[in-house]
Amino acid sequence: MSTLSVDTIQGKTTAGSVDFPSGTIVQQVNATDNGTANRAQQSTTSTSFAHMSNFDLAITPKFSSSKILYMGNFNLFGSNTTYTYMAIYRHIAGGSATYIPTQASNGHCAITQQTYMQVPVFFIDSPNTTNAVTYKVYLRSHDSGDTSYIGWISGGSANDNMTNMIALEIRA
Amino acid sequence: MSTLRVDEIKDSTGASTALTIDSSGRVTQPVLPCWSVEGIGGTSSNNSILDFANTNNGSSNLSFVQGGVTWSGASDYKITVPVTGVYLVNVGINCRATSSSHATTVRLVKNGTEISSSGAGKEDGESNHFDYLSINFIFSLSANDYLQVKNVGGNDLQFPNDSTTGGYFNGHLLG
Repeated sequence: MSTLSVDTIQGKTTAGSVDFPSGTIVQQVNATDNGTANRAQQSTTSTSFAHMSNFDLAITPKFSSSKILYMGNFNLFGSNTTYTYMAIYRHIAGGSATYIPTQASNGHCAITQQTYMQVPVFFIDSPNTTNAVTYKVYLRSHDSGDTSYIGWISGGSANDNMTNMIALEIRA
Repeated sequence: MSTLRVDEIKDSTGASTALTIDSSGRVTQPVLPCWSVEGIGGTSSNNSILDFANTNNGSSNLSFVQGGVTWSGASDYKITVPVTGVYLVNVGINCRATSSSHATTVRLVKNGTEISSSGAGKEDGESNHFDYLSINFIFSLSANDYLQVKNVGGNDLQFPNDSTTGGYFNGHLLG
C-alpha cells in the first residue's frame, strides 16, 4: 500500500497535459465552447442530406486512440405529414465529411406530424486522429416540396431552439 | 516520460482519499461530487419546479448524492454542488401536456434563473400519449450553486403514475 499526498498534479513534459488510465474523461466541449449555446434555426427543402452548419460541434482529441462520446438533443419539424431525416457526419480536418451510420439507414431519425419534436442522438465514435474533428448535422426531407427545420424558433432570439450538444473525449 | 506507481492519492492532509488505482489499473474517485434523483409522477403545474423523488410516486431508493452534493428533497427539489468546476448534467423526462395545443418544455434552473439554452421540448404536447425529453448540458458552476428543473411549457405536465418512468436528474463534476 502506498499513498501520495499532493494538492496539484501536472505533466512533467507539458504542465497542462497529464495522461490517465482507460475510461478517464480527457476533455469536454459543448455548444458554448464552440461559439454559442444558442444555435439559430436552419431548414432545407432538399431530399438529399444537407449540412446544417449552425449545429457543428468540434473537438480536437489529445490521443488518437480516444473514444468520443457525442450527446446531442435537437428539435426537428417537417412542413408536411411525411418524414424529416437527420444524420450526423464526422469531418476530420483536411478530409471529407463521413456519415456515421449508427442507426437507421436513412439517417439517425425520422419524424412526422407537423410539430416540433425532440430527437436525442448519442453515440461513441473512434475518429483515430489528433486533428480537429467536427460533428456536423445533416437534414433532409422525405418528399420534394417539403421543408425540414432544425431549431424551434426562426429569427430573433435562438434561446428557445431546444438544442444542446456535448462531446467528451474518453481515454481508451 | 515519467511513471508514478501508486495505489492511492489523498489530499495533502491525508484525511480524504481522492483517487485509487487497483492492480488492473482501474481508477476510482470515491468522493467525486455527483448525484442522481429519480422518479416523478402525477402532475406538475405550469411554471413550477419538477418534483423528482416524489414521495408518492418516486423510486427514491435509486436516488443518491455523494462528494458533498446536497439534495433538498421535497422542500424545493434543489441540487446544490459543493465545489467550483465544470459539471455534466443530464435530465430525462417522460411527460405529456394536459392540452393538445400546448407544448411540453422543461429547462434547467441555476440559482433560481432559467438557463435558456438548456431547454428541451415538443411544440404540441398531445394529451393522449407521453413523449420523451432529454437535456445533456455542460457548464461551469461555483460552490453552493444550486440546480433545479422547471416546467416552462405553458401548461401542466402529466407524468405516468409509475415510479420508474417519470424521469431522472443526474450529474457529476468533470473537473
